[in-house]
Amino acid sequence: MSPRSITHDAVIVDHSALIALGTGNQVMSRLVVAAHDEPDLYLYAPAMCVAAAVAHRPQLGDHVGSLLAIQVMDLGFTDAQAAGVLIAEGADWRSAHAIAAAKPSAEWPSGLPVVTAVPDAYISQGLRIIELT
Amino acid sequence: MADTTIKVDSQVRDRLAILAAEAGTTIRGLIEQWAAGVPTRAELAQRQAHDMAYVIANLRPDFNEEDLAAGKELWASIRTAGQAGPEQAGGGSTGQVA
Repeated sequence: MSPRSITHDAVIVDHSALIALGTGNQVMSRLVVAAHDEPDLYLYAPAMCVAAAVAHRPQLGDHVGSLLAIQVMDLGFTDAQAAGVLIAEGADWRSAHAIAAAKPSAEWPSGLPVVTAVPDAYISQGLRIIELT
Repeated sequence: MADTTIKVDSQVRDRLAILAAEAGTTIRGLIEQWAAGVPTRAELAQRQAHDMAYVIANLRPDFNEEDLAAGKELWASIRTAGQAGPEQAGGGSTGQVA
């Protein structure tokens, strides 16, 4: 482990990344286990992405609940409102919470990268992505 | 548990007092929250061992130390891109990982 940093870093994992994790995706497995290498690394799974992934593959709920590295991001009022607007504008409901969570905010002025297998939804929003292949 | 005293520079104490007031708590509360919220190296190691065992048992049986090293490198690249900022990192940029 390297000396502790005063910064912290995080990624958003969307529904497709969670589904990939459930099928044994190498990159997702690596991100999950290595996130514990420092105290300031976070994998955030937006609640709507968890719902979408579990709808696709119910067993994913057990994985998300069991892995300590994955933190489910609640859908509070701000993100609910933002996600609703995105869906009204045509965004896929499964990506909407991830888009809202990844956009620049007071806590994350540069926004957060989205780990995804369906990058187009995020690229069109000007977000950084880490594409799973 | 018994209380104890920690000595810090008066400027540090004053800054802690301001931060605590702005957070709606006391210096004691501020320090207690921080200490409870930051995992120790031993706790991190335990969590990593837990998740690695879960991944091997349920998701990827061949996960090994090489994967862990690759994961560390991936997080390092994420950190570097984040420190560069959205413009330098390229807004809407794509990073592909196999």
